[in-house]
Amino acid sequence: MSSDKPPAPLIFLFEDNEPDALLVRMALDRQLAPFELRTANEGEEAIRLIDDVDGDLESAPPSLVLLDLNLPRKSGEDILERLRTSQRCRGVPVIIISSSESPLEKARIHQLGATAYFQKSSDLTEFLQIGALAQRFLPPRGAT
Amino acid sequence: MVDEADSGNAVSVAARAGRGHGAGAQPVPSITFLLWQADSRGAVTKFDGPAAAAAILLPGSEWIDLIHPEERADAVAHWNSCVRAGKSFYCEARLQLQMADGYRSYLIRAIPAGQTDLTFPLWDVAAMDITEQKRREEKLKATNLELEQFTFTACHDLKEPVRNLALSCQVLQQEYRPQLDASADQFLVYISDAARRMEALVDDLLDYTRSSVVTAVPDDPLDLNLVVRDVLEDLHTLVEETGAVVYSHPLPALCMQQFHIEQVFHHLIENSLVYRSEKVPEIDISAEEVGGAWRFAIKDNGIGIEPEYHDTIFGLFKRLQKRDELSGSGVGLATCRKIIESYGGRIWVESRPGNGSTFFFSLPPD
Repeated sequence: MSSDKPPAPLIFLFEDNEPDALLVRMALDRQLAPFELRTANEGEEAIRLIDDVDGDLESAPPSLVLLDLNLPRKSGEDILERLRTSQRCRGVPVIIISSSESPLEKARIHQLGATAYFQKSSDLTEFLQIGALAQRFLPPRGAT
Repeated sequence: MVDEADSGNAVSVAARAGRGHGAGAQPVPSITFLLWQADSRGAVTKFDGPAAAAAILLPGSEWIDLIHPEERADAVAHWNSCVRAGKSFYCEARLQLQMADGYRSYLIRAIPAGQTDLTFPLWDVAAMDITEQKRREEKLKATNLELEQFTFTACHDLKEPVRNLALSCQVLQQEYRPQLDASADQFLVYISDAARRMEALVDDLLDYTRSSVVTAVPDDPLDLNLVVRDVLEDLHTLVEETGAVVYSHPLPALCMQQFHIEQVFHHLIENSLVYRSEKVPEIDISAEEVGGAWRFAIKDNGIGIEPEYHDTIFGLFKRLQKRDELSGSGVGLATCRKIIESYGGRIWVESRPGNGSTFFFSLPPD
């Protein structure tokens, strides 16, 4: 067993709404042990982050992706498809964060390979549950 | 020519097929009114009005041949049933009158001319050109649809900033409370109340616009007992808080979109719970067949409504209470009316202040 501390999990957060991004960060801070967060607030930048992981074997793939469906330039669906065809990110859990209540949208997103769906609430306590949900999909602490 | 198997004096659809009319006649300008007389087989016996009509309606020709082929079979069936019953004929149809712009829309009415002793009784027929009116109707429909789509998009896009407003307020109230004085705290209460009201209003407006979205009515009947059960489950917090007793009598199954009828029951039952009196709310839900249509009743023992408001309450944004007294955005009953009327039904209330209200709605058979 290695004595080195396991690296902090890397989380990608793709969200263009600044208050929502701040609240997601707040929820993760409260729920998780140290983690590394990389963010993008538009779709092309998100795709670039995924491309960088695929193109550079030195760079670690994320442990979890939090993805808003309504991003400028590239939609959440485009990014989900890109993730699912990526060499190194295809198995990464993806939590969709969206304000849509449409069951049809939820069904379509699951077909495209999303792991979970989180509906943004206007109630703070409910919104902050995103932290607990994220924790469920991260490797347990100490695992390599 | 004559449908012998039936009444012996009515028009046969098959006989119309392929028959021309006024072949070789010169195109004529639009004719606003046409008057003629025809026998029960549809054969023209005499005509009045513009001389140009002579090119179209000739004695012995059959006027139903002028109707657009797509509408002819229905018109013939309707004509035959009117002839059999001796009842006046009424239909809207496109007529080909050999004009430059082809078919034009006409409103056609016919009444028995009174000579019942003839083998083929005579009918007076009048047709009025309603083409322009139809075009304006179509344009208005398209404009209304565009407006509804605009409202839907606007409401949908308003949801996000309203949610951010509500959440930011809660962060300040919960995380920064020690740093705020009493008056700052009070202003945050105002902001969060406003955000909550705005959110409810946007949600209700979204439901209102969705209530008019035209989609196919399902073929399978929907069990309304199950719909009411689901609605009561949705409202269980309010039912429990108020200790309400709800009686639901057996309801029929009807072909309706589930979202639509759910909305109607939801708003009516919720209103009975919200506008309750000092008494424990009692709500009675029932349906009966009246004159071939279903009539539903949602009866409560709430505060009741003054007669002068019995119509206005179904208007958009109409509320009878001050904002602080009882919650409600003023969209619920307007949504109910829009849905019920879109199914060809009617909604109304019978109520007196202090004596509860009964909301009725009727739905025609499928």
